[in-house]
Amino acid sequence: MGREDDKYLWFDTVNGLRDVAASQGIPLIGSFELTARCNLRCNMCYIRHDGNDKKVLIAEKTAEEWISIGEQAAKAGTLFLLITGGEPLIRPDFREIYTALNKLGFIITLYTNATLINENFISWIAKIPPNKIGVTIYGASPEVYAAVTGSGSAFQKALNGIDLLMQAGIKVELRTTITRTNIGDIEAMDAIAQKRKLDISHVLSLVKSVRGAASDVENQRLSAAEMKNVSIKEISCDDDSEVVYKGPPKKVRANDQPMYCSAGKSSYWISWDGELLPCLLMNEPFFDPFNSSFIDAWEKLKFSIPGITAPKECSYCEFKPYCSVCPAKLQAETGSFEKISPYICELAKMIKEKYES
Amino acid sequence: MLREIAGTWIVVPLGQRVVDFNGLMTLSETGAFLWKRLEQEAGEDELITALLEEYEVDEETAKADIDEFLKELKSGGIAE
Repeated sequence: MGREDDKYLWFDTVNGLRDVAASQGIPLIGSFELTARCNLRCNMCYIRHDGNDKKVLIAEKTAEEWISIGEQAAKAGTLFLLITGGEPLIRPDFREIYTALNKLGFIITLYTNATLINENFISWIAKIPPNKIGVTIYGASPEVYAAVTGSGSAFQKALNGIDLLMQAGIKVELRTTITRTNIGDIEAMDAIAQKRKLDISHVLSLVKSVRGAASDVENQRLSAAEMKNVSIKEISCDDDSEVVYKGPPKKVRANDQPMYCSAGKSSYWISWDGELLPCLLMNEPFFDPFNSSFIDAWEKLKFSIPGITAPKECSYCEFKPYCSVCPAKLQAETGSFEKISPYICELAKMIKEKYES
Repeated sequence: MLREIAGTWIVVPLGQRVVDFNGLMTLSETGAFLWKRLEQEAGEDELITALLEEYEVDEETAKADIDEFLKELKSGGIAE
């Protein structure tokens, strides 16, 4: 064996790892949704159930089951793992699950509302921190928090949680979901991030719940007309694309398949009740990794993706370059991959008009 | 921890190392070869010997390469 190209090639580039994973069908990017329960009651949430919802509690997978799936996913090639909910910290066995998953060689991101983070939690997680904690904030005052989440005191608790994480040297990123209730707080929420030198990302376009959440997305989300005057960027779920409401689309899709993202090709989502899904917005196709095996369910999921179709209308639509439509959003909005959604069409029209003006 | 995913060697930091870690680090075959020996707690002399046995390099080049490798690991927050 000779030295490679006679250079100090100790460090390869990771660019293209995602593409290679997709071409080889390796489940590189995974999400474990540990629970649908949450201590907050956000009125736009796509998943939320009450913290003591007995039906949900019974259907949740055990710590042992999640750890087993984690071990199998690591063997199958999962590198990036999102641990989320609901509010994952609401589970009494969260530390048991996290500790075991953290030993498996994942690059972990944890999503939380930060309201359950206290000094005791910090002294534990600081020894085994995730790569990043994404904290969702819902407003910039107790009043707006009360209106969105049902809890005014959650505002200060969340700020305390964020500051404790930062003091422990843990990487924090802020996220927020913009609704009719908190739209007036965009700048103030950005200021919360800036004061702490944190990044903040905004989600603007919300789709209906496919999971029977106890919330009211349709009345809370912004209409296309309301969104038109919002001059912030929205990062979409697909890492490679970005919907920019104040400019042209940054990127034309890499391919013209209905499922043009990594879902079911190199990424997956496992729901709180144990379904392996292409992404969080979908409720089918699903397969059961808990009663078969992770790899068996993954192979079936991959095989099902090319069968997903798109509405005929989309293929010749003039708004296509401006449209963020995907099968997952259509399924959530219309219950079908093949039916167009007036809400998504209006958003595309608005973005085109905004760009052209 | 060193993991091989999609034909790529990837260093995944564990424990408190995560907070010092500056992004994702991947290793070439040669880097992975040295890493596995570091995991067995090999010292610099043992790394040089191993490299000389496995690769067609002279001792001076091997030492320089290993110094560079260890320096990069330190600056990446991966090793002390």
